[in-house]
Parts: sequence; structure tokens; C-alpha cells
Amino acid sequence: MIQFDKIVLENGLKVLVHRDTTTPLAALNICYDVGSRDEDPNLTGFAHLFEHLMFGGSVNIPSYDEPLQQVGGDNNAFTSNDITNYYLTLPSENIETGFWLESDRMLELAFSEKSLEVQRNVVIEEFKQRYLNQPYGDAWPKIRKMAYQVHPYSWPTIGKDISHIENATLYQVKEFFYRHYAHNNAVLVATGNVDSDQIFQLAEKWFGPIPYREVPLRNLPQEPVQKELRFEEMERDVPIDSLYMAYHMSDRLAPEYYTADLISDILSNGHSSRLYRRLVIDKQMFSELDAFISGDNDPGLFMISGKPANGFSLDQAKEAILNELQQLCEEGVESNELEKVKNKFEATLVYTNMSYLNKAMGLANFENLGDASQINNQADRYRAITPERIRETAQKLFTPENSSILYYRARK
Amino acid sequence: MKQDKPNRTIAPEFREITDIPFLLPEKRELSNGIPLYTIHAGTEEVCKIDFIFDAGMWYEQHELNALLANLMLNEGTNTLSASNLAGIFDFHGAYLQLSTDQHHAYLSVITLNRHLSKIIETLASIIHESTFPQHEFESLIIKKKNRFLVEAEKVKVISQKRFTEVLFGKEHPYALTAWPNDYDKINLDDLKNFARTHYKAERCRILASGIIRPELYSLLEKHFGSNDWKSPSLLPESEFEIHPSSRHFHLFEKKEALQSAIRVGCHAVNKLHPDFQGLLVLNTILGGYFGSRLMSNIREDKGYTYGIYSMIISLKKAGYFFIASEVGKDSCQAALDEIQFELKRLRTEPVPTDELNTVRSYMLGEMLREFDGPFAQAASFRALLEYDLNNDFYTNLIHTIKEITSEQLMELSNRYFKEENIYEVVAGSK
Repeated sequence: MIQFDKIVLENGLKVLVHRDTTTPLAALNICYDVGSRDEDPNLTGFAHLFEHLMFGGSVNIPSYDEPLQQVGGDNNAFTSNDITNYYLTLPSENIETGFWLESDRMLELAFSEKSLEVQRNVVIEEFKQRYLNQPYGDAWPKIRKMAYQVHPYSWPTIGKDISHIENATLYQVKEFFYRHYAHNNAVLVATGNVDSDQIFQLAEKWFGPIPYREVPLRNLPQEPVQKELRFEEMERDVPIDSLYMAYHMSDRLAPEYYTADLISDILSNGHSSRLYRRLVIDKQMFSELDAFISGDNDPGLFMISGKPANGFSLDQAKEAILNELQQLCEEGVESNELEKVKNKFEATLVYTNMSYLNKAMGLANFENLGDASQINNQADRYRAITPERIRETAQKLFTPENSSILYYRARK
Repeated sequence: MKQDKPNRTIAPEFREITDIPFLLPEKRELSNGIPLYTIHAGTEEVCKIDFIFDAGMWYEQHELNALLANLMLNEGTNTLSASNLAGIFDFHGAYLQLSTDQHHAYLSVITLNRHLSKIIETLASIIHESTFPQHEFESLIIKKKNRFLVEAEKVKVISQKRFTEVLFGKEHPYALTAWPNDYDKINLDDLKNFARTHYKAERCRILASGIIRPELYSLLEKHFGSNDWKSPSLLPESEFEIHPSSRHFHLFEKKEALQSAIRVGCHAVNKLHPDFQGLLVLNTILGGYFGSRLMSNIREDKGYTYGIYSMIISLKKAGYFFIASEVGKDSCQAALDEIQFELKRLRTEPVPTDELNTVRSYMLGEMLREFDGPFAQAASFRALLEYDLNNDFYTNLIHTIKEITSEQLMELSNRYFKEENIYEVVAGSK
């Protein structure tokens, strides 16, 4: 159970505090409700580029990192399809420095041509390092594009095309900031060796005076139901063939989300999982095989990827996986198998919540989804899943017309 | 509770970090002499146990044997099949991690305390009565080889491996010289023999952290305390000579790569040497944190790379230093020049007081993080075990961080980062 206190400032900023006195440190996490799904299709990669610019200094503070390092702090951030999340850790007695830094960059960034130019280059190198210069780096972007034809999940966080980053202008950057970076679009969470009253006062002091900004309501095109199987092939200079499959699944808040997550665990979490045991070890058909959910807030994807081994073809590999999915749809799971993945989920939750920083991120994420207290009933959500629900959900998910399949071939 | 507008141009007051609260591990011995270290801390009924064996690459006769022997331990025992083993860990929500480094092989498990008995019993079966079955061996080879085939395509991996080869010479165990085809030469009997001679009581240390329940001691004593698994005779300790390359620049071409991976570095010293702690400070200034000189110059000013960092590596019998980055191939030479420029600057100009103070604060904060929670404390302690050092090392480090002067740092730069000591390795194109 993660206890927390919460207030909402007049300007709309939600502030949550969880006290953990086992650490001398504190975490401050700010989650902005903006991700790559909020981008203009012609300006993709912007949310992430923006994350980089957030470290280029703010209106009153020329350097973000240096003052934080001076008080023994460290920080980082990430951008997803759904959110942009910033976090820092520092000795808890120095937490006001965190408020000072975070509030100033929410107030206004020090927009400069130089900072934009440098971060454009940095992000272009990141694009290369993570996607273009990595074997199979363009596979997931490709299969996203196949699965989503209208929803902005069709492009990856890094962007659809490197030219979108190359051509970003300071005007566009500013506009993006004022449209999305606002109190009423953010959740602030403090955890660690902190006190709620102290945090609420600091929040009021540093974030209270920042004016309210109009944040446009999100109105994204929803993906129509897929009606037929999508199949594509591509060829690259990679050492071995690889197979990618994606099935549409529910959004983050639907009950089906939890069931799909457990199905992915049954299939591939741990060395006792079905796909690993049967296809990697027993039949030696794959050298790698994974099933996982994308975890997106809007309707997401159930993904499977594998590399066939031992001379097995992509067709044979695909058939073997479909066969396993079919079996799950027909026979469901044994109660022992279901018990196992639930136990594993619960234990992992205990390990995860040993970290004050993880707790900060978790609370921010659930509050952003609508209600931080949901973090405390996750285990129950998973506990309640029955073998029948597993089977029903599997039957709904794993149909040919709901699937996108990509053969990623090694150039001979 | 409206307040006056805060003054945003002045940083809030803050306190310097004065000390780092770390626990001394408690040490005891099992009846057969195996040292058992425990760090009792935390609030969750969770325990992490590391079994540390002197069974790393240093001791192997053939490439990859230490690594694969370690992984095969968990692939079947006299009483439990690979599938049973996997089922036990998964069902109880326990994670077993097998890993190997230059001198050691590890079996690390994290488990809820309520399953301690089952998990330790299972670990005993893995360590004492592993059977190394043929079928699982084949699956493992397929898996590892194919993964390695993919890894070996990455410029970062190529530069990393080649750099150690340049520094130590092909024959030295610190050179990471294995390539995918080496998997074709593995002999299962060699692995078995390696495990039978190296996973022995005299070569074992145990480190447990988290909430330590009394039954942990009795369980470990019961399953690991007997003399039955002592070696009949001690293995001789091999020694190897270091043969650095005579050339200081090495290019490993991969023409189609969009980025080149750079490794620049030199020999240094390990944790036993009095210069080591000062080198850690010097390294932080150069490339050990986000505000470092390399990041500020090569990423934040020039935009040549997504990231650049440097590290001091301490190994039992040697130490070395390196800078690593992946840069756009057209910026490769420019990045190398900037790296040399930064090294030269360290040799010729004293580090300004403000910068040094920032690094002092950052490093102390980092130490707080490295000692936060039972597992972090255990990891920090584990990093000293092979040198027979104790937490005095960290007490001294705190002292060095607070007291080292710009002059001392410049001296260190001139001792270690001399131009003629530096090797440059590039994978990609230039």
C-alpha cells in the first residue's frame, strides 16, 4: 500500500506526496500529459525534441543541470507516446532546489537558436544510434505504421522522419511549449524523506504564481477496427531473419488491459513461459521469442517478436506461434499456470515499490491516467482474472483480421 | 496560503552533504569456512542473495567456457529438470540471475522471504548437482550464438571488444576476444569440468541483503555448510602478461555504418592503488556526469553525439580508463580532436574551483544514491570484496572527494593521461 496525500493548486497543478523515511533522499517527478500522439503528423518527434530543450536553461536560470549537481542531485527524463516525464533525485533537505528548477522551466524556457540547433543535432544522432544504425532498429516503427492507419501511434516517439527534426523552427518549439506545458496539464509527485505540508507549501510558493494556460482538449482520430490481416516484408543487412506480429488490444483503463498483460506473461515472461519452453528450448525453433504489450494509454498493441533459428523459415516460425496462440484460445490456461503469473506480478510489484523513485513515477502515471489511488489496486486487478477471461480475451485478440505481420529478412 | 512571489533568480539555500550513512556488513562463516556477509536493512520482506565464485574468465582454458558453464548450471540437476527449475523460480516470483565477469561467476537471487526455504533448496540443487544436459546445451548455444551475431554487428560492441584487445593483447583474459564462431567450438564436457572444479566451497562467498531472517543462516548452513563440496586440491592461480598494441590508432571498418563508435583510453590503476580515488574525481570532471566536460563540449555545444562518457575500470589485476561515444561518421575526426583537446586541458590547466565544487557535490550525492537501500549497499560492498577492501575505501573516497585539489588533479592527469599513453579505437568509418 502506497500512502499519499494530494492537493490541487488553484491553477490546476496536482501535487502528490508519499513519505518514505528509509532513505535520506527525495524524488521529484513531473509528468506532463503530452506525448508523441499529440504531435502534428507533419512535425513528428516534437514532444521528444522538446524534452531535450527542457534542459537548455529556463527564463531565470541559465543552466538546469549545474545548480542541481551542486546540491548533490541527478535527473533524467523520458518521452513516450502518451507522456513526457521528468524526474530528479537529491538529498531530501535540498528539495527546494528541485522546486525552483522545475517551476522555472514550467514558467518559461530560455528559447534560443543555439540550444535548438544543438539539440536538433543531438536528437538526430539519437535517431541514428537507436534506430537507423541498429540492426532491426526500423522494425518496430514499421509494424506500428502497419497497425495504425489513422491514430498518431503510427509513428514512433523519435519521429516519423529525420527531416521533421531537421526542419524544426524556434517558432514551432515555442508554440508547442505554450500549448502543452502548463500546470493544468501536469502532475507533480514528491517521494522519499519528505513531509506533505512542507511539499505543499513549496509547491504553492514556486508553482502557485505561474499563470493558467489554456490547454486544448485532446481530440485524436481513433483507429477504426481492423478488418483484414496486414502483411509486409522487408530486407535489410542484418545477420538473421526476424518476425514481428502485432494485434490491436484495449486502452490502458479497460479490464482487458490486465488480462492481455497476463497473457503476455503466460506466453513469454520467464524461462517457464510457454513460448520460451516449447519453441525456444524444446523445439529449438527460435533463438529469441518475446510477447509483450505496448502499454499505451489509448488502445495499444499486443506484440510478438522472434528470431527463427536452426534453419526454420519465417513461415514455419509464424505457424508455430499461431499454433500456440490457437491452443491458448481453445484450451485456455491451467490454474497453476495462471497462479504463477499472478504470483510473479505481485512479487515484482513488491520489488519495484522498494524504490522511492519508482513509487514517484508510478503515482504520477496513475494520477495522469485519472486517479493515483489506482496504484494500490493493481494487484487485485490481476488477482481477479479467471481462466475464462484469459480464454475470452485471447479469442478476441488473436484473430487473423486483427493482426499485422512483418517478415524482416536478412539480405543474403 | 498565498505568499509573496519567490525570487527566481536566486538559488534556494541548500546543505552540503557531510556524511554518507552506510552499514558495515556483518560477517560470519559457515562451518566449512565459506564467508557469509549480511546487510540487514529495508522495510519489505525481501532478500537478495549473491553466491560469488572464483569462476570467471580468468580461469577458463577455452573462450566462453566460464560464461556458459555458469549458464548451464540452471539447465537441469539430478532432481530437477530445466523446466522444473524455471517453474519454481517463476511460481514463487523469485528472480535468478546468472552472470560472469573477469574473475567471478555469480548466482544472484531475489526472493520474498516467505519462499526463502524453497529457493535456497533449489539453489543448492543447481550449485551441487547440475547435470549439464545435451539438449539444453544445444538450445543455449543456438540462443547465445544468434544473439551474439546481432550484437557483433553493432559498432559499439566492436569498439568495446577491440579496445580491450588493443590494451591487453589477444591472449590476455581481460581482452574480450570471443566472437560468434567461438560458439561452434564449445565442448559440453569442458563446461562440466570447469563447473566441477570451480564451483567449490573454497571458491565461494555469499552476500545477503534485505530483511535478514534468522532462518537464512540455518538454511545456508544446511545446504552449503558441509565439507562435502570442498576441492580435493587447490587450483593453481594463472598469471598473464599484458601486451599492449604498438600502434595507438586502430580503425575497424564498417563502411555502411551511419555512426562510428569511438573508444579512447589508456592503462590506469585499480582500487588498491592510492591514486585510484583521485582518478575517480578526475574521471567525473572529464566524462562522469551529465555536466562533464566531454558532454558539455561534444554533445551540448557541438551536437556531435547523443552521448559521451568516460569510466575508470578497476579489475583485480589491472585498471584502465576509457572514453566512449557513438558519433555521426562525418564528425568522427572532430570528436576525436575534441577528446584530445579535453585531455590536454586537464594536463595543462587547473580545474576551476567552481567546477571542482560542483563535482564534489555531485559525487557525494551519487554516493548517497549508491548506498541507498539494502541492495545498493550490498552492490557497493560487493565491488570491494575481490580486493579484500572494506568500507574504509568509501570513507577515504569521501575524504578524497572533499579534499582533493586542482593541483593534485593536474598531477594525476599528467601521470595517467599522457598523450603517448592514449589509444584510439574507432569502429565504423572515419
